[in-house]
Amino acid sequence: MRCIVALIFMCLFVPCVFGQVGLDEAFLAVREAEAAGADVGGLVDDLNHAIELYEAGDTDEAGVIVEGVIVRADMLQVRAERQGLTDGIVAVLVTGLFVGAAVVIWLKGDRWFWRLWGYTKRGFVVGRR
Amino acid sequence: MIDEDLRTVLVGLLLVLAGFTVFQAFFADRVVEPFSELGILGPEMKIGDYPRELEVGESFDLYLYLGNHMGSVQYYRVYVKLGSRELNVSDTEPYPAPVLASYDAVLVDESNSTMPITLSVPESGVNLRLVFEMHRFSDGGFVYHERWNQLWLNVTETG
Repeated sequence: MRCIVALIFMCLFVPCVFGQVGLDEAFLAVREAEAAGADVGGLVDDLNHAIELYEAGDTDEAGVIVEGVIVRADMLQVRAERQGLTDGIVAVLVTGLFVGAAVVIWLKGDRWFWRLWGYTKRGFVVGRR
Repeated sequence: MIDEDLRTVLVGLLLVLAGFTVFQAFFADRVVEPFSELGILGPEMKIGDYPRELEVGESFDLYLYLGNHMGSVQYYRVYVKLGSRELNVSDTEPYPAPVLASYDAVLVDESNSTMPITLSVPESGVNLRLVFEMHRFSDGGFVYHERWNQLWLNVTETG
């Protein structure tokens, strides 16, 4: 009798537990992808669709969607991490460029300004009457 | 000699641009005050017209409103629990009453969702509390997010 009860319990609840674990895992994958800088809007829509399917009892279709979300989230995460590295390097370079330009202007601004002024105003005479 | 003021302005402008670039690259996503929203709307999707007098097992429609301003994607679960006036709701501990239903939703940052729900109360009573309790997925499980709403119900036995 106990075996039958245990079997019924497993049949009723084990699929729900597995489904929930899949959703949790997919959500964590989506969260990591987002933390890496990926746009996860599409993945979240799919996750909500999977939740609806789980609630409607369609665990097979929901499971397929959840697995797809996990795979795509991993791919987006890798792509976003690469993009983030590139963006970081560009930001550092741009910052260095601005700071370097500021230093150069501070040190050499006078000379360059007057040289440029003299070049563009060639023949200009100050003070002749 | 180049005007000293002009040089100062140019250098200052470049340093501001450099600072802005650093801020955008590393701190733009920072959230100052993260929070979540939980709301219960009546059958007309408005605040009001909530059911008050019901019969046991009678279905009624509501709308559940969730909003995410936590700075990252969130997985929310709202438990609907049936309690009584004697059992108070806490801001820090989940309400110790049986769960009637639960609703899940995943929301990206700065988004909200309004979902229709249909409920029924399985037992009769006066001044029953229908508590809507928000949990969010964190550290491997759902934890109480310290957001809740409640409806007061009088439920009578079916004639």
